[in-house]
Amino acid sequence: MKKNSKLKLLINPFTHIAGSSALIIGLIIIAVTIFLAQMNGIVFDGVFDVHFAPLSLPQAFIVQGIAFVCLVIAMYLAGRIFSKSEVRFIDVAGTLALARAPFILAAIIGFLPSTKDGLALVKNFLFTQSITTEDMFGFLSFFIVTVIAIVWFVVLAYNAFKVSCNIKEPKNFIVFIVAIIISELIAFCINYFVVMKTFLLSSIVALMPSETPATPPAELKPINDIAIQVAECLKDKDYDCMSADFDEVMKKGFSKQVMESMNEQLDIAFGKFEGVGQEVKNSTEGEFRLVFVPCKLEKGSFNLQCTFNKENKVCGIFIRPAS
Amino acid sequence: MFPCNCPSCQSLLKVKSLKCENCGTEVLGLYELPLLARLSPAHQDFILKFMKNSGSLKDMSKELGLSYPTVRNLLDEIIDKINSYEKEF
Repeated sequence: MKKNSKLKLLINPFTHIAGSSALIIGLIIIAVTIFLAQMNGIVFDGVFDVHFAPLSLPQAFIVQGIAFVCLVIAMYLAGRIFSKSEVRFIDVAGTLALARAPFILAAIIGFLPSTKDGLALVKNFLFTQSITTEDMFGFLSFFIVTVIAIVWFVVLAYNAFKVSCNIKEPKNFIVFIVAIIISELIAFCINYFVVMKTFLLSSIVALMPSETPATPPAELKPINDIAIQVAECLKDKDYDCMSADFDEVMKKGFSKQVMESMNEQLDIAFGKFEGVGQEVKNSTEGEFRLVFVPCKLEKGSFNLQCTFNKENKVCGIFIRPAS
Repeated sequence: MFPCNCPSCQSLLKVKSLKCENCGTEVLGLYELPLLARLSPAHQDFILKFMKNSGSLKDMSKELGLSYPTVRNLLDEIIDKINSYEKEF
Protein backbone atom coordinates (compact mmCIF):
# COMPACT_ATOMS: atom_id res chain seq x y z
CA MET A 1 0.00 0.00 0.00
CA LYS A 2 2.85 2.39 0.88
CA LYS A 3 4.41 1.79 -2.54
CA ASN A 4 1.07 2.59 -4.18
CA SER A 5 0.68 5.81 -2.22
CA LYS A 6 4.23 6.90 -3.15
CA LEU A 7 3.53 6.19 -6.81
CA LYS A 8 0.27 8.09 -6.50
CA LEU A 9 2.14 11.09 -5.09
CA LEU A 10 4.52 11.07 -8.06
CA ILE A 11 1.58 11.18 -10.46
CA ASN A 12 -0.85 13.29 -8.45
CA PRO A 13 0.59 15.17 -5.48
CA PHE A 14 -2.08 17.83 -5.82
CA THR A 15 -4.54 16.16 -3.45
CA HIS A 16 -2.08 17.18 -0.75
CA ILE A 17 -0.47 20.33 -2.08
CA ALA A 18 -1.90 23.19 -4.13
CA GLY A 19 -2.29 26.95 -3.93
CA SER A 20 0.48 29.31 -2.89
CA SER A 21 2.75 26.65 -1.37
CA ALA A 22 2.71 24.67 -4.62
CA LEU A 23 3.31 27.87 -6.57
CA ILE A 24 6.37 28.85 -4.52
CA ILE A 25 7.93 25.39 -4.70
CA GLY A 26 7.05 25.07 -8.39
CA LEU A 27 8.55 28.45 -9.32
CA ILE A 28 11.77 27.64 -7.48
CA ILE A 29 12.07 24.33 -9.35
CA ILE A 30 11.31 26.07 -12.66
CA ALA A 31 13.98 28.72 -12.01
CA VAL A 32 16.61 26.13 -11.09
CA THR A 33 15.66 24.05 -14.14
CA ILE A 34 16.01 27.01 -16.52
CA PHE A 35 19.34 27.99 -14.98
CA LEU A 36 20.81 24.49 -15.22
CA ALA A 37 19.45 23.94 -18.72
CA GLN A 38 20.72 27.25 -20.10
CA MET A 39 24.25 26.34 -19.03
CA ASN A 40 24.15 23.61 -21.69
CA GLY A 41 22.25 25.56 -24.31
CA ILE A 42 18.90 23.89 -23.53
CA VAL A 43 15.77 26.04 -23.36
CA PHE A 44 12.08 25.43 -22.68
CA ASP A 45 10.46 27.69 -25.26
CA GLY A 46 6.97 26.23 -25.16
CA VAL A 47 4.46 24.49 -22.93
CA PHE A 48 6.17 21.14 -23.37
CA ASP A 49 9.05 22.04 -25.71
CA VAL A 50 12.71 21.29 -25.04
CA HIS A 51 15.24 22.61 -27.55
CA PHE A 52 18.87 23.44 -27.96
CA ALA A 53 19.17 27.18 -28.54
CA PRO A 54 21.90 29.72 -27.82
CA LEU A 55 19.72 32.01 -25.74
CA SER A 56 20.97 34.16 -22.90
CA LEU A 57 19.74 33.45 -19.36
CA PRO A 58 17.23 36.34 -19.35
CA GLN A 59 15.89 35.17 -22.73
CA ALA A 60 15.57 31.60 -21.43
CA PHE A 61 13.54 32.88 -18.47
CA ILE A 62 11.39 35.05 -20.73
CA VAL A 63 10.44 32.27 -23.19
CA GLN A 64 9.58 29.86 -20.40
CA GLY A 65 7.73 32.57 -18.49
CA ILE A 66 5.62 33.35 -21.54
CA ALA A 67 4.85 29.65 -22.08
CA PHE A 68 3.95 29.12 -18.43
CA VAL A 69 1.66 32.14 -18.28
CA CYS A 70 -0.12 31.03 -21.47
CA LEU A 71 -0.68 27.58 -19.97
CA VAL A 72 -2.01 28.90 -16.67
CA ILE A 73 -4.36 31.41 -18.29
CA ALA A 74 -5.70 28.83 -20.76
CA MET A 75 -6.34 26.28 -18.01
CA TYR A 76 -7.88 28.86 -15.67
CA LEU A 77 -10.24 30.15 -18.35
CA ALA A 78 -11.18 26.59 -19.28
CA GLY A 79 -11.93 25.89 -15.61
CA ARG A 80 -14.01 29.03 -15.23
CA ILE A 81 -16.04 28.21 -18.34
CA PHE A 82 -16.60 24.48 -17.87
CA SER A 83 -16.51 23.89 -14.13
CA LYS A 84 -19.46 24.20 -11.78
CA SER A 85 -17.12 24.59 -8.82
CA GLU A 86 -15.23 27.61 -7.58
CA VAL A 87 -11.91 27.77 -9.48
CA ARG A 88 -9.12 29.72 -7.81
CA PHE A 89 -6.35 31.14 -9.98
CA ILE A 90 -3.77 30.42 -7.30
CA ASP A 91 -4.69 26.72 -7.32
CA VAL A 92 -4.38 26.48 -11.10
CA ALA A 93 -1.08 28.39 -11.15
CA GLY A 94 0.38 26.52 -8.18
CA THR A 95 -0.45 23.02 -9.36
CA LEU A 96 0.73 23.71 -12.92
CA ALA A 97 3.99 25.21 -11.62
CA LEU A 98 4.64 22.06 -9.64
CA ALA A 99 3.67 19.95 -12.64
CA ARG A 100 6.72 21.32 -14.52
CA ALA A 101 9.10 19.66 -12.04
CA PRO A 102 9.98 16.68 -14.33
CA PHE A 103 11.72 19.03 -16.77
CA ILE A 104 14.61 19.24 -14.34
CA LEU A 105 15.58 15.80 -15.68
CA ALA A 106 16.04 17.29 -19.15
CA ALA A 107 18.17 20.05 -17.66
CA ILE A 108 20.37 17.62 -15.75
CA ILE A 109 20.93 15.26 -18.72
CA GLY A 110 22.45 18.23 -20.55
CA PHE A 111 25.50 17.93 -18.31
CA LEU A 112 26.46 14.61 -19.86
CA PRO A 113 29.47 15.38 -22.10
CA SER A 114 28.04 13.35 -24.93
CA THR A 115 24.61 15.02 -25.01
CA LYS A 116 23.99 16.27 -28.50
CA ASP A 117 21.56 18.55 -30.18
CA GLY A 118 19.50 16.42 -32.55
CA LEU A 119 19.35 19.14 -35.15
CA ALA A 120 23.13 19.60 -35.19
CA LEU A 121 23.50 15.84 -35.40
CA VAL A 122 21.19 15.65 -38.42
CA LYS A 123 23.02 18.51 -40.14
CA ASN A 124 26.37 16.83 -39.50
CA PHE A 125 25.05 13.52 -40.76
CA LEU A 126 23.62 15.06 -43.93
CA PHE A 127 26.90 16.75 -44.65
CA THR A 128 29.37 14.08 -43.58
CA GLN A 129 27.25 10.95 -44.13
CA SER A 130 28.64 9.60 -40.86
CA ILE A 131 27.60 9.52 -37.24
CA THR A 132 29.73 8.37 -34.34
CA THR A 133 28.57 6.00 -31.63
CA GLU A 134 29.27 8.69 -29.06
CA ASP A 135 27.07 11.17 -30.93
CA MET A 136 24.25 8.64 -31.22
CA PHE A 137 24.48 7.76 -27.51
CA GLY A 138 24.47 11.41 -26.58
CA PHE A 139 21.46 12.18 -28.72
CA LEU A 140 19.50 9.10 -27.62
CA SER A 141 20.10 9.70 -23.94
CA PHE A 142 18.86 13.27 -24.25
CA PHE A 143 15.89 12.19 -26.38
CA ILE A 144 14.75 9.41 -24.02
CA VAL A 145 15.05 11.51 -20.86
CA THR A 146 13.25 14.41 -22.52
CA VAL A 147 10.37 12.20 -23.65
CA ILE A 148 10.03 10.80 -20.11
CA ALA A 149 9.99 14.34 -18.72
CA ILE A 150 7.36 15.51 -21.20
CA VAL A 151 5.05 12.52 -20.65
CA TRP A 152 5.37 12.84 -16.87
CA PHE A 153 4.64 16.58 -17.13
CA VAL A 154 1.49 15.99 -19.22
CA VAL A 155 0.20 13.45 -16.67
CA LEU A 156 0.91 15.85 -13.80
CA ALA A 157 -0.65 18.77 -15.69
CA TYR A 158 -3.80 16.77 -16.34
CA ASN A 159 -4.10 15.85 -12.66
CA ALA A 160 -3.39 19.46 -11.70
CA PHE A 161 -6.21 20.59 -13.96
CA LYS A 162 -8.52 17.87 -12.65
CA VAL A 163 -7.97 18.82 -9.00
CA SER A 164 -7.89 22.60 -9.38
CA CYS A 165 -10.86 22.90 -11.75
CA ASN A 166 -13.02 19.89 -10.77
CA ILE A 167 -14.61 19.20 -14.14
CA LYS A 168 -16.34 15.83 -14.45
CA GLU A 169 -15.00 13.09 -16.70
CA PRO A 170 -14.85 12.64 -19.66
CA LYS A 171 -15.34 16.36 -20.31
CA ASN A 172 -12.24 17.27 -18.26
CA PHE A 173 -9.96 15.25 -20.56
CA ILE A 174 -11.25 16.88 -23.73
CA VAL A 175 -11.15 20.37 -22.23
CA PHE A 176 -7.60 19.75 -20.98
CA ILE A 177 -6.35 18.61 -24.39
CA VAL A 178 -7.91 21.59 -26.16
CA ALA A 179 -6.60 24.06 -23.57
CA ILE A 180 -3.05 22.72 -23.67
CA ILE A 181 -2.95 22.79 -27.47
CA ILE A 182 -4.26 26.36 -27.56
CA SER A 183 -1.74 27.47 -24.92
CA GLU A 184 1.12 25.83 -26.85
CA LEU A 185 0.09 27.57 -30.08
CA ILE A 186 -0.19 30.97 -28.41
CA ALA A 187 3.11 30.54 -26.56
CA PHE A 188 4.85 29.47 -29.75
CA CYS A 189 3.55 32.50 -31.67
CA ILE A 190 4.52 34.97 -28.92
CA ASN A 191 7.96 33.44 -28.39
CA TYR A 192 8.64 33.18 -32.10
CA PHE A 193 7.66 36.75 -32.97
CA VAL A 194 8.92 38.42 -29.82
CA VAL A 195 12.03 36.56 -28.77
CA MET A 196 13.04 33.65 -30.93
CA LYS A 197 12.49 34.86 -34.49
CA THR A 198 16.02 35.98 -35.11
CA PHE A 199 17.46 32.86 -33.57
CA LEU A 200 15.26 30.52 -35.62
CA LEU A 201 16.15 32.20 -38.91
CA SER A 202 19.84 32.02 -38.23
CA SER A 203 20.28 28.62 -36.75
CA ILE A 204 17.96 26.28 -38.61
CA VAL A 205 18.09 27.20 -42.29
CA ALA A 206 20.69 28.23 -44.81
CA LEU A 207 19.44 31.55 -46.02
CA MET A 208 20.76 33.74 -48.76
CA PRO A 209 22.50 36.79 -47.43
CA SER A 210 21.01 40.23 -47.79
CA GLU A 211 22.86 43.00 -49.62
CA THR A 212 26.50 43.11 -48.68
CA PRO A 213 28.65 46.20 -48.40
CA ALA A 214 31.56 46.55 -50.85
CA THR A 215 34.17 46.83 -48.11
CA PRO A 216 33.74 45.64 -44.57
CA PRO A 217 33.42 48.43 -42.01
CA ALA A 218 36.17 48.61 -39.41
CA GLU A 219 34.03 47.27 -36.53
CA LEU A 220 33.59 43.85 -38.29
CA LYS A 221 37.27 43.24 -38.80
CA PRO A 222 37.69 40.98 -35.78
CA ILE A 223 35.02 38.51 -36.96
CA ASN A 224 36.36 38.64 -40.52
CA ASP A 225 39.77 37.70 -39.19
CA ILE A 226 38.27 34.90 -37.13
CA ALA A 227 36.33 33.56 -40.13
CA ILE A 228 39.44 33.57 -42.33
CA GLN A 229 41.33 31.81 -39.56
CA VAL A 230 38.59 29.14 -39.34
CA ALA A 231 38.89 28.52 -43.08
CA GLU A 232 42.69 28.39 -42.91
CA CYS A 233 42.52 25.91 -40.02
CA LEU A 234 40.02 23.79 -41.93
CA LYS A 235 42.45 23.76 -44.87
CA ASP A 236 45.33 22.79 -42.53
CA LYS A 237 43.12 20.20 -40.77
CA ASP A 238 43.96 21.82 -37.42
CA TYR A 239 40.86 21.21 -35.26
CA ASP A 240 42.15 22.96 -32.12
CA CYS A 241 42.90 26.08 -34.09
CA MET A 242 39.57 25.89 -35.94
CA SER A 243 37.46 25.56 -32.78
CA ALA A 244 39.34 28.20 -30.78
CA ASP A 245 36.55 30.76 -31.29
CA PHE A 246 33.55 28.39 -31.24
CA ASP A 247 30.78 28.98 -28.72
CA GLU A 248 29.91 26.20 -26.26
CA VAL A 249 27.11 24.73 -28.35
CA MET A 250 29.35 24.54 -31.43
CA LYS A 251 32.15 22.92 -29.42
CA LYS A 252 29.72 20.22 -28.34
CA GLY A 253 28.16 19.70 -31.75
CA PHE A 254 31.21 20.11 -34.03
CA SER A 255 33.77 17.57 -32.87
CA LYS A 256 37.17 16.68 -34.33
CA GLN A 257 35.56 13.65 -36.01
CA VAL A 258 33.04 15.92 -37.71
CA MET A 259 35.82 18.18 -39.01
CA GLU A 260 37.78 15.19 -40.32
CA SER A 261 34.66 13.85 -42.03
CA MET A 262 34.04 17.28 -43.56
CA ASN A 263 37.57 17.38 -44.94
CA GLU A 264 37.21 13.90 -46.40
CA GLN A 265 34.03 14.91 -48.17
CA LEU A 266 35.62 18.09 -49.49
CA ASP A 267 38.56 16.05 -50.82
CA ILE A 268 36.20 13.74 -52.66
CA ALA A 269 33.95 16.49 -54.03
CA PHE A 270 36.40 19.30 -54.76
CA GLY A 271 39.88 17.82 -54.59
CA LYS A 272 42.81 19.27 -52.70
CA PHE A 273 42.26 22.47 -50.67
CA GLU A 274 44.39 25.07 -52.47
CA GLY A 275 43.78 28.35 -50.72
CA VAL A 276 41.60 30.72 -48.70
CA GLY A 277 40.62 34.10 -50.16
CA GLN A 278 40.91 37.30 -48.16
CA GLU A 279 38.00 39.15 -49.82
CA VAL A 280 35.25 38.14 -47.45
CA LYS A 281 31.60 39.20 -47.65
CA ASN A 282 29.43 40.17 -44.71
CA SER A 283 25.77 39.94 -43.88
CA THR A 284 23.43 40.01 -40.91
CA GLU A 285 20.42 37.94 -39.87
CA GLY A 286 18.78 39.51 -36.87
CA GLU A 287 21.28 39.60 -34.04
CA PHE A 288 23.66 37.25 -35.86
CA ARG A 289 26.44 38.32 -38.22
CA LEU A 290 27.51 36.19 -41.17
CA VAL A 291 30.91 36.12 -42.82
CA PHE A 292 31.47 34.37 -46.16
CA VAL A 293 35.06 33.28 -46.83
CA PRO A 294 35.89 32.22 -50.39
CA CYS A 295 37.75 28.91 -50.51
CA LYS A 296 39.53 27.58 -53.59
CA LEU A 297 40.00 23.86 -54.16
CA GLU A 298 41.54 21.83 -56.97
CA LYS A 299 38.25 21.06 -58.74
CA GLY A 300 36.06 23.94 -57.61
CA SER A 301 35.34 26.55 -54.98
CA PHE A 302 32.83 27.34 -52.25
CA ASN A 303 32.08 29.95 -49.60
CA LEU A 304 32.58 28.98 -46.00
CA GLN A 305 29.83 30.74 -44.02
CA CYS A 306 30.65 31.48 -40.38
CA THR A 307 27.78 32.69 -38.18
CA PHE A 308 28.77 34.86 -35.21
CA ASN A 309 26.84 35.69 -32.06
CA LYS A 310 27.09 38.92 -30.06
CA GLU A 311 30.19 37.72 -28.25
CA ASN A 312 32.01 37.27 -31.61
CA LYS A 313 31.93 33.51 -31.14
CA VAL A 314 31.26 31.14 -34.01
CA CYS A 315 27.83 29.57 -33.55
CA GLY A 316 27.40 28.02 -36.98
CA ILE A 317 29.43 26.84 -39.98
CA PHE A 318 27.97 26.08 -43.39
CA ILE A 319 29.31 25.30 -46.86
CA ARG A 320 27.69 27.55 -49.48
CA PRO A 321 27.98 27.49 -53.26
CA ALA A 322 30.44 30.03 -54.62
CA SER A 323 28.55 33.07 -55.97
CA MET B 1 -22.97 1.64 7.71
CA PHE B 2 -26.59 2.49 8.44
CA PRO B 3 -28.65 0.58 5.82
CA CYS B 4 -30.53 2.90 3.49
CA ASN B 5 -31.49 0.66 0.58
CA CYS B 6 -33.39 -2.61 0.47
CA PRO B 7 -30.92 -5.52 0.11
CA SER B 8 -33.47 -7.31 -2.05
CA CYS B 9 -34.72 -4.68 -4.50
CA GLN B 10 -32.51 -1.63 -3.68
CA SER B 11 -35.50 0.62 -3.02
CA LEU B 12 -35.14 3.30 -0.36
CA LEU B 13 -35.85 1.95 3.11
CA LYS B 14 -38.13 3.71 5.62
CA VAL B 15 -37.98 3.58 9.39
CA LYS B 16 -40.72 1.36 10.80
CA SER B 17 -39.85 1.06 14.48
CA LEU B 18 -37.93 3.06 17.08
CA LYS B 19 -37.33 1.64 20.55
CA CYS B 20 -36.64 3.26 23.93
CA GLU B 21 -33.99 1.31 25.80
CA ASN B 22 -34.90 2.97 29.06
CA CYS B 23 -38.56 2.00 29.37
CA GLY B 24 -39.07 -0.44 26.52
CA THR B 25 -41.52 1.78 24.63
CA GLU B 26 -41.64 1.05 20.92
CA VAL B 27 -42.76 3.66 18.43
CA LEU B 28 -44.16 2.20 15.24
CA GLY B 29 -44.79 4.01 12.00
CA LEU B 30 -43.31 4.59 8.57
CA TYR B 31 -40.84 7.40 8.70
CA GLU B 32 -38.71 8.77 5.90
CA LEU B 33 -34.98 8.39 6.46
CA PRO B 34 -33.33 11.75 7.12
CA LEU B 35 -31.49 12.86 4.04
CA LEU B 36 -28.18 13.16 5.88
CA ALA B 37 -28.49 9.58 7.10
CA ARG B 38 -28.37 8.39 3.50
CA LEU B 39 -24.89 9.70 3.02
CA SER B 40 -21.87 7.40 3.41
CA PRO B 41 -20.04 7.41 6.77
CA ALA B 42 -17.11 9.24 5.14
CA HIS B 43 -19.42 11.98 3.84
CA GLN B 44 -21.22 12.27 7.16
CA ASP B 45 -17.87 12.58 8.91
CA PHE B 46 -16.86 15.29 6.47
CA ILE B 47 -20.04 17.27 7.16
CA LEU B 48 -19.49 17.03 10.93
CA LYS B 49 -15.90 18.25 10.58
CA PHE B 50 -17.09 21.00 8.25
CA MET B 51 -19.53 22.23 10.91
CA LYS B 52 -16.96 22.03 13.67
CA ASN B 53 -14.56 24.10 11.54
CA SER B 54 -17.27 26.74 11.10
CA GLY B 55 -17.48 26.07 7.39
CA SER B 56 -13.84 26.98 6.77
CA LEU B 57 -12.43 24.89 3.95
CA LYS B 58 -8.99 26.24 4.77
CA ASP B 59 -9.15 24.83 8.30
CA MET B 60 -10.64 21.61 6.96
CA SER B 61 -7.72 21.15 4.58
CA LYS B 62 -5.27 21.57 7.44
CA GLU B 63 -7.16 19.10 9.61
CA LEU B 64 -7.52 16.48 6.87
CA GLY B 65 -4.02 16.98 5.44
CA LEU B 66 -5.45 17.60 1.98
CA SER B 67 -5.11 20.51 -0.40
CA TYR B 68 -7.76 23.23 -0.50
CA PRO B 69 -9.12 22.31 -3.96
CA THR B 70 -9.36 18.64 -2.93
CA VAL B 71 -11.46 19.56 0.11
CA ARG B 72 -13.58 21.86 -2.01
CA ASN B 73 -14.11 19.07 -4.55
CA LEU B 74 -15.20 16.70 -1.76
CA LEU B 75 -17.70 19.30 -0.58
CA ASP B 76 -19.01 19.73 -4.12
CA GLU B 77 -19.41 15.97 -4.40
CA ILE B 78 -21.53 15.90 -1.22
CA ILE B 79 -23.58 18.85 -2.43
CA ASP B 80 -24.28 17.03 -5.72
CA LYS B 81 -25.31 13.90 -3.81
CA ILE B 82 -27.67 15.83 -1.54
CA ASN B 83 -29.19 17.61 -4.55
CA SER B 84 -29.81 14.25 -6.25
CA TYR B 85 -31.43 12.87 -3.09
CA GLU B 86 -33.67 15.94 -2.87
CA LYS B 87 -34.76 15.49 -6.48
CA GLU B 88 -35.86 11.93 -5.69
CA PHE B 89 -38.34 13.31 -3.15
